[in-house]
Amino acid sequence: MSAVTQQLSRFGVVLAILATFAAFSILRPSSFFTALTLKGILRDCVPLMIVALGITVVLAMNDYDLSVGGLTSLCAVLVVVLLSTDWIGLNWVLAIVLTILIGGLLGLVNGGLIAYVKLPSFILTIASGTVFAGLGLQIVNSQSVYLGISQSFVNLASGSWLGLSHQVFIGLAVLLVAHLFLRHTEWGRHIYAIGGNPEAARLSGLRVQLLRTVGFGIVGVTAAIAAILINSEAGAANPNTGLGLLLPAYAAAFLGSSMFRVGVFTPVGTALGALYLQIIGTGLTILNLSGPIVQMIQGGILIAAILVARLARPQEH
Amino acid sequence: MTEPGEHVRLVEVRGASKRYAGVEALRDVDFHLAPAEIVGLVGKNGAGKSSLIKVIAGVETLDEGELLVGGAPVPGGYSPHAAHRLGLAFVHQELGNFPLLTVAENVAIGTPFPRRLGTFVNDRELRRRVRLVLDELESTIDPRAHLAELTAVEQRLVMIARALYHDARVLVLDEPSVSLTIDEIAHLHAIVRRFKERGRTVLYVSHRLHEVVALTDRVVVMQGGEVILEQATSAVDERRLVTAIAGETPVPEAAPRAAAARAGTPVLRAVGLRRPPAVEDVSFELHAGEILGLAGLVGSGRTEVVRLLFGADQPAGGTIELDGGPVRFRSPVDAIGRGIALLPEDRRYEGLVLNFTTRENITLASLERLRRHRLLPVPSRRKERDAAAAMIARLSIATSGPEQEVRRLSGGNQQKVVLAKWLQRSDRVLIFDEPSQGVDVGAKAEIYGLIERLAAEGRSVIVISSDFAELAAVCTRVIGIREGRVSGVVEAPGITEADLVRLAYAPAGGEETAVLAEL
Repeated sequence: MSAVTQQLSRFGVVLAILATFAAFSILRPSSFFTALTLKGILRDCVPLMIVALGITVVLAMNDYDLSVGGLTSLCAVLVVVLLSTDWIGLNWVLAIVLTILIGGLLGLVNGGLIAYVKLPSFILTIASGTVFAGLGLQIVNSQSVYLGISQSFVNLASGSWLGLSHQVFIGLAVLLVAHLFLRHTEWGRHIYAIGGNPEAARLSGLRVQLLRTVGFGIVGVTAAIAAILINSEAGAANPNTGLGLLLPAYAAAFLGSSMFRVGVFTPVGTALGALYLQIIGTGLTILNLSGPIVQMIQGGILIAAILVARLARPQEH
Repeated sequence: MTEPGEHVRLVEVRGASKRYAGVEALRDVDFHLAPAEIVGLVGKNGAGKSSLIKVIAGVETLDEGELLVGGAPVPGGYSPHAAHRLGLAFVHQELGNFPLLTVAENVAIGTPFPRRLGTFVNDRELRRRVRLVLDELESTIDPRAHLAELTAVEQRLVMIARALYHDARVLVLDEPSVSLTIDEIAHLHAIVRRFKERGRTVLYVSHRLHEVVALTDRVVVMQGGEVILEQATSAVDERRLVTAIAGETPVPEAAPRAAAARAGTPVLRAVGLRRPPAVEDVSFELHAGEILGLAGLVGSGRTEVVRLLFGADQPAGGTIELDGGPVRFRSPVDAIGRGIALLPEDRRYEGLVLNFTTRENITLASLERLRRHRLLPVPSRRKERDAAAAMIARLSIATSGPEQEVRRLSGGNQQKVVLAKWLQRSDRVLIFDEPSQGVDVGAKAEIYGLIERLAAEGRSVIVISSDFAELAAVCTRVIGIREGRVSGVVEAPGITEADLVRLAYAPAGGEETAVLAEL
């Protein structure tokens, strides 16, 4: 393990972001390096980042939640069905609150089954995510919902302030809460302890089962928030909203874990990971590369990131 | 009876020395195994038995000396795989078996399975061959059964059958009788004898001396990394072995202990605790200011007893009383809430979060006392750092500072970090499971000095240790735990190591001895 690799991996994501950013700016100075594009990147990475922040909490506990895609789709359907005057027609604020509550509750159910009934998180969340996705499709009969959506709801995400989308500020707020929670509270410390050694955590008197349950509940809340923002931005509900979020969310968290203390999942790292993925996504689109190529590049970047993180990790003996 | 040293040497170790981090695990050991004999290997924990076995198994390499198998020195790069190819088989306490495979598959694994059309496993032929081996061992186990369905003794039999199937010449059994019933042990011994009758050799490692005397042809006693006794079993008795095992370990310097005053209601009381098979019937009282030792061997149930006291496991029967009132600890959270702390034996897996810093480990169980503001669950980094620094100074933990990752500390310092985590709280009952294991002499003295200070402050301490000399020196009272029961009590002043060796090893009653004598 050379010092160079160690330093490279320590600031790997930051360096990669700067390098990629510079590369796109040089390749497409007139279309990429513009205020519009840059603001777009900041805005578009927010839903992904929020979902990835939830994932960060369970990853810190050494768990997996693969239901997050299905759950996001379901929440996307729920919020619009609740507020659309064509459907239930609740006040939009109430609809948002209810959606977040339901998302959190479904996450808690996942967590309870994992922590107390001791179902394996990997397969349980694949299964429950499938159920969530199916439920969402069933409610709206696999159709998108466009009608009866209040303008105030649409303004929530698509409005702007100080020249930046509301989403950017909402994203920063969620990031701040996640950072304070994981890095500066007792619960956060306990969550990392569980991830490091669940038996030592249990014998130290930490409420391991409760915390694991809450961790999955947090994933539900973040999935709901992301779904709300996506719908608000689009002014519609697409029952397949969450489909493409699952893998990028994990990619963002793993990219982020190769920063700071290597192998530690942190909210700030995850946020930078999400930002990086968005820069790549937007940049490659501007370069007019085909979808499959973009896919291969994104996958390759993730492999490179975890490889660097693995090499930098202190060797176990 | 063959005379040791005259026959062919199947496995031989000459002038073997091995050091781990400055501690001598083996010191100039000469040892051998001959064809068709059962050799008993005994000694205290840390006497060097495991190191010797690991060297023979190819898990560890010698610093000095040589290992010969079949009369020839083993080639360079000797490994567990090479040991297997040379016909050595090892059955460890944690059985290396596959619960979801069948008996036949477990027996044959590691050898090419019989095939049909050169491709598909021929299950019928496989079962037939395994059946032959099982018949040789006079076992009626169904080769089609899944291993998970078998009892502990049947699983051990399957491992022995594997050695036979692989045509192993030497079988090493490490504590094979732990957690087996008396009948099952008799069965195990019968199998071992049959294995020997087929011309094979067995190295039988056990703390249970009556078994060793009843079963083996030759016995080797280790102490402090050296072989201190090697004799035909017919020429020794249990008492001779006990004396040899205990040896003359220097007792650490400590003021002679006085019995602690035991007035009033006990702080902690266990009545008829049960959790078979490890814990059968354990009762005792613990008063304020007492240092109570639990003297027992690995597998005696001593660790399981304290896990019950701490709520880490649930008792099947019996009660625990705190200050005279019955309590039920559903989890460690309950026990900790009532002021009980456990320093686990296996600190790497149960005591520490290895990727945390020293500070984070020290404050893990007491974060709510180190808040920035009393009402907000936000730990103050400054208070944490001060608390950790104070503990590092108090216990002289050798670290570059509170922010050093705990995985980089030495074993002794890691143990001190676990200790610091609990001292950071002020619990009334502290349970130390093997507090000085893997700790150097200096750190040992510090830890025992600290235990004495804790008791002097009026706290109650329970100490489990395989080092009986230390228990004798530090405890105000010691109870023996043997096969899940209390085997006796000795009280300070005047506790000797020999007392404790007797409590831990001596057969509890005539019944078991009689059964074993029949074999």
